[in-house]
This record gives sequence, C-alpha cells and structure tokens, in this order.
Amino acid sequence: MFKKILIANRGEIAVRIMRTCRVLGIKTVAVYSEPDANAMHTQLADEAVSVGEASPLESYLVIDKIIAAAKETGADAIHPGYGFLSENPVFAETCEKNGIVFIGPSADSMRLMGDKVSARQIVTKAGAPVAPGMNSAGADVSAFKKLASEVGYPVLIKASAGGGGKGMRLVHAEAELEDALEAAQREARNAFADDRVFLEKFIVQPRHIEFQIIGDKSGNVTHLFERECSIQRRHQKIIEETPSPAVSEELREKMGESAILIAKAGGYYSTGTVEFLLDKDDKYYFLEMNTRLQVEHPITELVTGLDLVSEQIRIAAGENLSPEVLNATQRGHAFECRIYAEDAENKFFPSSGTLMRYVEPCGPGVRVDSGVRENDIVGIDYDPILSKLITFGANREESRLRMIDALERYTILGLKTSMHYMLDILQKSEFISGEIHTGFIEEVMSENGTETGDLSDSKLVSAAALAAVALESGTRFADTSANEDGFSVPTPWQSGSGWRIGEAE
Amino acid sequence: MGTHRLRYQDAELTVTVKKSDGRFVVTVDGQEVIVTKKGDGYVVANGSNDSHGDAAVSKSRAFVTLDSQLIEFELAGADAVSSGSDGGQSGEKDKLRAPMPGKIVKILVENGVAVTAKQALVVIESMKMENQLLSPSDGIVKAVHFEAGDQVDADTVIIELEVDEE
Repeated sequence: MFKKILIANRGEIAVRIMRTCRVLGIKTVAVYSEPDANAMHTQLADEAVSVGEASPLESYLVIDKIIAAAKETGADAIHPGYGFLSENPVFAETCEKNGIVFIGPSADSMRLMGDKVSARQIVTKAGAPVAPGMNSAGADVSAFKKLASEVGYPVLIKASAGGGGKGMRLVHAEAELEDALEAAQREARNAFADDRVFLEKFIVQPRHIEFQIIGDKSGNVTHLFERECSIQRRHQKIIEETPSPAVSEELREKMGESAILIAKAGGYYSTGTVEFLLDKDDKYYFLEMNTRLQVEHPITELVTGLDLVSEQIRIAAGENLSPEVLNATQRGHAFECRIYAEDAENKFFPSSGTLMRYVEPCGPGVRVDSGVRENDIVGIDYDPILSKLITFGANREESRLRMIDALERYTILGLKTSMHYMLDILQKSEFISGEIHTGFIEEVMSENGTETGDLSDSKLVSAAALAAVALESGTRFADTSANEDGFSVPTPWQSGSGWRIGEAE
Repeated sequence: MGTHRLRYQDAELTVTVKKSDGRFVVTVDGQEVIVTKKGDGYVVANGSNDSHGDAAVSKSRAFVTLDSQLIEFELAGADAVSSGSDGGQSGEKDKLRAPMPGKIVKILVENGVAVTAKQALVVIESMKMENQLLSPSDGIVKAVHFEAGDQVDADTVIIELEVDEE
C-alpha cells in the first residue's frame, strides 16, 4: 500500500480524499495556490506545497509543478480528484514515467473514452445502445442532411472533443442544418482546437441516468447501480439521487450490463461513470463516459456503504475488487444538493465574500462534504462549489424531508448561495412525484432563479429585527481582510469606501 | 439598548432593540417582534409566524438568513462604520480605491469639485456587473487618475481627495 499520497486538487474533494487517506493510515500532501495558503485542504494535509498563483493555469493545472511537489515530498501516488488534471492522459502518463502511481484509469482508457466519436465506436462495437447517428466525424453537409432525415428531426450536432455544451447545436429542420453545422465546427475549433463534429438524434425530454462503474487491473468490472442527475441547469447537475424513481429492477439490470460492457470495451479500471439518456419508453442511449471520480459519488457511497476513494486507492495499488464491492447491494435512498456560492436572484453569478457565519447541519442521515470553514474567504478564482449536502433515508420521501430540513438548518452568512433555490425545487409537486427530466429547470423553475419580489413585508420586518439583534451583539466583521494575507481575491464588500452592489446608473 | 437604521432596496427601516428576560423585544417601524436565542441561531416571533434564522454584520452591511432565505441590509446612520474610524486596515479618507479588478465605466466628478461622503464618484464594471464607488468622506477632488475605459487592478487609487482633517 502507498505510504504517502499527493492530492492534486483543492476544496471539498481534496478534503474528502484526505479523510479517507487518514483512515487508511496514509500520509497526505496538499498542493495550494496563493489564495489557498490557509484553505482547509492545505491545513488538513500532513504536508503542503505551494504551486503558484491563483490562476489554475499557473498552479493546479501545471503538470511539472505537481510532479515536482510529489517528488520533493516523496509521495508514491497522486489522486487527481475531479476537474483540473483528472481526465488528462498526459498527466497520467507523466506520473507513471516519474515512478508515481496515478490513482485513476490508464491514459489509454482516458483517450479512448474521452473522445465522443471514438467512444461511440467502442460502445457500438460492444453492442450497447447509442442514439442513432454518425459513428465517425464528418464535414460533408449532404451526409449530415441524409442521416438527419433518416433518424428524424430534431437532431443534435456535437463536437467530438471537450464538453460543457460547446460546439453543440440543436437542429429542428433541414433548413437550419447547414448554418448549425458551420457554427458547431467554428465553436469546436475555437474551444478545443479540434473541429470534428458528428450528428446524433436528439432525445426529447430524457432523464439523465448514469451508472457507477468500478474495475480492477485484472480486468474485473462491476457496477454500483445508478444515479439520476436529471435536475440540471445549463448542463450543470445540481441535485442528484439514487435509486432513480424511473428505473425498475429489470431496467437496472439491463442498463448495468450495458455499462459493464462499455467499461470492459474501454479496458477500464478504477472508478468511472457511464452516462445514459433514458427516454419515456424506457429506451436508453449511451451519452458519454467520465473517467474520474464524480462529484456526486457520495450518494452511491450512502446506498452501498462503500468508500469509493478507498476502493480507488486499493485498485491503484494493484488489489483486486473486494468481495464487498462484488456483492454490493443498494439500500435506502440518497440525495445530493451541490451548494454553490452563487446568486440565485441574479442570474446565478458567482458570489464571493467572507463566511461570517458558517454552521453545517447534522443529524440522522445527513452528510456534508465541504472545503470551507467559518471566517474563510471565498474568492472567484475557482469553481463556486462550497460543499455538497447529502442525505440518506429508508425511502425517497424520508431522504427528501431530511434534505429540506438540512438545507433549512445550514447557515451560511456573508455570501449568496443556491440553497433557497434548491428548497424550491425539492418542494415542487413534479419533483415530489419523481416526474423529472433534464428540461425540468426550464419548464418548472424560473431560469434566472428565485424572483426577488417574493420577500413579504412581515419577513422583511423579522429579518430587520434579527439584523438589529446582531448589531447589538457587537461582533463586526471587517469589510476588508483579504489583502493583509497577500490575497489577490477581492470581495465586493471589502471596500471600506462604500461599495454598493447593483447601484450603478 | 439602541436604535438602528437599515436600508433594504428603497426602504429604510428604523429598529429599536430592548433586552428583557433573556429575549430581545425589537420594534421595526412601530411593529413589535420577539427574538429569542435558540440552538445555533434565533427564533423570531412576528405575530403568528415563527421563523428561524441568524445574522452577521460587517462594517457596512448586515447579512440575515431567515427560513433559509438570504436578506442583506445596508447599514445607515451611526452603525455604518467607515473602515478608517475603528482601527480598520486602510483607514484612508482621502483616497478612493478600486475594491476589485475591473473596468472604469464612468468618472462622475472632476478635479476641484466638492463632494460629500457616500456620493457616487465612479462607476466600475467587475464580474460583468456595474457598481458605483462612493466617496469615503467629505472633501474636494484633488486628482483623478483614470478615465472611462481604463482597466484597474484591485486596490488601485482612482481618485484622491483634499480632506479637511479635524
């Protein structure tokens, strides 16, 4: 087993990985950028190495700096977390070349499954379902038109590389196709320096159902059931759950088998996720494979009782899948809400500030994976995720009610969060009955977030009363605090000279 | 105990707080509310409604969470402490600095003009939002270092004032 693991990440996921290392008796090394010098993940590690300035391009994404930090501290393995370098095959190869074990899949699997066209080819060859469409990238308009009329409009033009909705175009009719094709190619070229695009039938109102895959280096692969991630805002998952209310035992078995086939065809080991779209007739189609630990992995941990990071570490060290993994069962129901520092009343702009009050909820079936503490300064250099709130219950309703209570008891003061918006979603009748799909937010919620006008007079009076009581208690937080620590992260309320939001002419 | 003035959007509220029997009797524009410490936060009894919440204050703002809704007030009157007056970090009454990196959209004053505290002097755009920067004190504009369209770093002095030190 490894003696020391470097965690090439920050925030909640770095903290979460360190906790497992501690339990396994493995020493940890943190890397940190300048604004993260006093961050929770930096302080929690046994050792910490500075890797540069705030911009990820100067710090968390610089392969040479991460490798140098591992060598300097004698780390024998690196866990990349999610995001940053986690799906970068060059990073995985550089680790191995330097005699450091990369905790994740092989660089070859990442390359095969990370490219959408090659993944489609592998999945088709393996005999698992993909949405009708092209199995190679093309540029010939007539070929696109021919195929589109065969599979039927609407169709989706997608970039082979990258993700995040870039280079993606929805086409409703043949007249739009040529322009859409050119636009998708242009966007893909600009975003990924790769203008390969392909066409796929657009699945209307699908659910997003993904399967947790786990495999060892001896070729054993199994799945750890599904997660439903249909509650998304602009391709960004915000609430996840398992089991999915739409997946029957029979369907689960079928989809799980497909997921295993796909992972095996990609020569996959470690943890990974096979994403599917599920339509109203219980037909499912391969969407993509994520070759890393997912943000939403804790809900799988709660219903299976497994520690996925611990399993990843064992697999990387060469162990075969344990009997606990091979015989895993699904029990109860889990939800996850991603707590973002963003302003749900103002187009979900990132919000920054000092965490003047920060109290996490606790109680039966409540887990909080967080990377911040009270008094921390949250800047705007990184992904705005503060924490993940995860609840477990004997059934879906118990888990949902625990989530509502936990959100209500989660106190975060000093910046804006999406918690109130989550509470709205959790209480919609469509959500309660499990009738959800990836268009839920657009259909049921206001796209721009919570309306500002819904603060009643009586609530304003109660809020003012609380504000006045807090004023009496005497503790006053500074509006400025960042600069004395050498931070480059300003917050809107750190200006002593009267910064006022939203008051421009 | 004291009287406080809080601004929320266009409304200004006058709030008085009295402590009795471990509870706070709070009057907001004539309306009485009882606030009691409970567990991690407070319970606010307002008519037949009980809500749960907590609050924290910085030098210029109050942040309140009430039944998980966030409400921010701007402090007015004696509570609005400028950073200079209680041993704060910068304490400069004669300089207006950019609080975050951004682009100057508009300079609202020119050299030699008399300004009052909290008067808007500059409009700056950061994180895709326009915001006003307010004068740190009464004074006369001594120097304007930038013009519309200029990019500024955090903490850069944009305007200097001639301030009458007492």
